Amino acid sequence: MRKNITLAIALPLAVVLGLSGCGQNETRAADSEPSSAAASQIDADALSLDGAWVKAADDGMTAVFGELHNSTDRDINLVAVKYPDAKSVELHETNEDGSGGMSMQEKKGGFVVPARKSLRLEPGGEHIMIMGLQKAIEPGEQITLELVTADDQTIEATAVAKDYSGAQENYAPGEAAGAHDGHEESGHEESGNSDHGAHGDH
Amino acid sequence: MTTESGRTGFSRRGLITSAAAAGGAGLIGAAGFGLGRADYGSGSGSTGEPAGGGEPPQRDQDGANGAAVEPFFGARQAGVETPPQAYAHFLAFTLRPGMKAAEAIRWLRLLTADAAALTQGQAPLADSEAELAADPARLTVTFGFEPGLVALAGEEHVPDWLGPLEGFTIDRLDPDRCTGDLLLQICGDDRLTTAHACRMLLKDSRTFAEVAWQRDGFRRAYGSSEEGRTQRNLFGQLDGTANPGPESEDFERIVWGSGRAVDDAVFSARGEPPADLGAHLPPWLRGGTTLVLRDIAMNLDTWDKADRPAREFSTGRTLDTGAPLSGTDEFDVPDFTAVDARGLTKISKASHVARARDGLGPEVQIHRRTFNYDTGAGEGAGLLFASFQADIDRQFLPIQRRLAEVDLLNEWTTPIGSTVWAIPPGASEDGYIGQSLFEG
Repeated sequence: MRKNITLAIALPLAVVLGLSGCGQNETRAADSEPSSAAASQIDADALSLDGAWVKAADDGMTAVFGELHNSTDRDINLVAVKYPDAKSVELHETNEDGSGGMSMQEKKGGFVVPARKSLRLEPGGEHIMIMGLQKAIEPGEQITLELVTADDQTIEATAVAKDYSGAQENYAPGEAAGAHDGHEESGHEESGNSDHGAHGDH
Repeated sequence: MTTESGRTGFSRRGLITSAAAAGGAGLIGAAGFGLGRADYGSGSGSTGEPAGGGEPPQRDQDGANGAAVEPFFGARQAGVETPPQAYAHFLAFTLRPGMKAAEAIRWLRLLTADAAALTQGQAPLADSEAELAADPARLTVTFGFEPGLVALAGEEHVPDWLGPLEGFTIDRLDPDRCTGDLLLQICGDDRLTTAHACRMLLKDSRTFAEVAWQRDGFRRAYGSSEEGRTQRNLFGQLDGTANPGPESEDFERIVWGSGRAVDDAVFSARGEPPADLGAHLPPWLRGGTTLVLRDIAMNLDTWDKADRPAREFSTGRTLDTGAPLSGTDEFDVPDFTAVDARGLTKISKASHVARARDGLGPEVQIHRRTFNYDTGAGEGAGLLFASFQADIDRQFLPIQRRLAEVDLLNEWTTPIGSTVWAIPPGASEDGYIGQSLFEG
C-alpha cells in the first residue's frame, strides 16, 4: 500500500511540471514581449549544468549529476541529452521502492528548469542516465555532453568523473535492458496506477 | 639579553587582529575569544593573562573558529607557513603499478578540486556527506611528491636530493613507514573536519593508488592556549622555539628559498640567511620547498626515569618556560659560553640545543611544524617531525648529522620513519597541484 501512496504523490507532480513545459512559455514570451524574442534562441549561458560529475564506470550504465541552472526569465524544458560514447541517454527520476531503496524511471517530458531557478540532479533523485557505455569513463576524466531543450537548442556541458559507490540504480545485471524498456512503454500513464510500484522490485 | 628576533615577525595578520581585539576590549572587557568568526588570531594575547583579573575564562559559544578558512589557491601551498592547526593527518600513497602521467594528472586534478572545496568549507563533487564539509576550521591540504610520482613526468625532473636520507646510526627505521609516492598533509582545527577530508581524498585516490602509511598528529586544541605559542611535545618540552616567524624575511629565505629584496628586513639572532637557498630547486619546484618528515618514537617509560634536572640538562632548556639554561625567557638566545659558579658551561655541549645550533651558520635553519602522536595508553608515542627547508643538503642535513652523532636527547627518542618530499608550488584557480611538473 505504501508504494501506491508514494506514487500518487510523485506522479501528479511530474505531470504538472510536464504541462508547464517550455513550449507554451516560449509562445507567451514571444507574444507579449517582442524584445525578448531573441531569447528563444538559447544562448550558452541560458542553461548550464553546474558542478557536473559523472559516476566513473567501465561499461554498462552510469549517471550524471549536477545542478541545472536556468538564467533566463522563462522555463526551460530539457528533453534529451546526447553522449557519443553510449548507446542511449535518458532523463530519469527516482522513486522510493518502499524498502529504503530507490527505483528509477524515465521522466516523461524531461526536466523542466523553472525561470531563474535551478534543478538539482543527484544520486537518489533526478539524474541523467547513460546506458550502454561503449567506452570506459575513468575517474578524473572530463566528459562532454550535449543538453537538448524542447525547442531543439543544444548546450554543451562537461562533467568530471568521480569514483562513487552510490547511485546503484537497483538494476540487476541482465535484467536491465528488458526491465527498463518495459518502463518506457508502460511507465508513464498519467493516471499513475500502482504498476509503477513494481519498479521497486528491480 | 638578546632575543630571537625572528619571532617578532610572528604574524602580521595576528598583529592586526590583536590590535582589533585590543580596540574592542574596552567595550567587551575580557571577552577574549570569539570577537569575530574569522579572527582566529584574536586570542587574548594582547590583553594580558587570559584568565586574569578574576574574570572567569569564557568559552566561545559561537563556533568562531569553524568558519575560519585558509586560502587554497595561490603561488604557494598552504600548510607550510600557515600557523599550525590543532590536528594533522599525514597520509602517504603508493601509486598502482603501471600508472602513466595522464592518470597522475587526472588524480591530481581530482585531489586539487577536493582540497580547494573542502578547505573553503564547501562539499566537493560527489561528497556523500556534504554536511561534514561545513566548518572548515582552517583546514589545509598540502601535497608532497616523491620520485615515483615525479618520474611519471620524466626522470629528468627528479632532483638528486629527492629520495631517502643517508642512514644515521640512531635510526631504527620501519621500511613500511619510509615509502610512498604522494603525501597529503591534512591539517585543521577540527578533527571531524579533517576526518571527512581524509575520507574524501581517499575515495578519489583508490583508483590510482593505495595507502602506504598514515599517522595522526595533534597539538593543543584551538582556544586552549594563546595563538602563536610554541607547542609542547609529549615529553613536556616546548617544541619549535627557534622557528622563523611566519611572514618574516627569515621564513622567506629559510623555507621558500629566496629573498624578498626588502631593505629593512630583521633577521633572528642566528644572522642573515643566504637568499639563494632555493636556487638549486628545479624549475617545476620554484615557489615550492622541501619537506623531511621524520617519525620519531618517544620512549615515555624511560623518560619517566629521568628527573627534571636530567631532562633540562639533556635539552639545554628549562621545561617550564623553555628558556635556554643560560637565560630566563623562551626566546633568549642560548649563550653557549655562559658558565655557572663551578666554571662549567650552563648549556652542555652535548645537549640538544647546543648540538642543533652551536657553531652552525645562519643558513643551517629549518622550520619545524611538528605534531604529537600516540596510539593508546601504554602503546606508542612520538613526534611527527615535519621539517620544511629550501635545501635539505645545506639546511637539514648538517643539523641531522650532528644530532645523530651526539645529542643527549637521543637516549629517549628513536627515528622509526623517514621520508623526503618535494612540496610543489600552489595551484592557480584553473590549475592543479603539480601542473608545473607535468605541464611546465
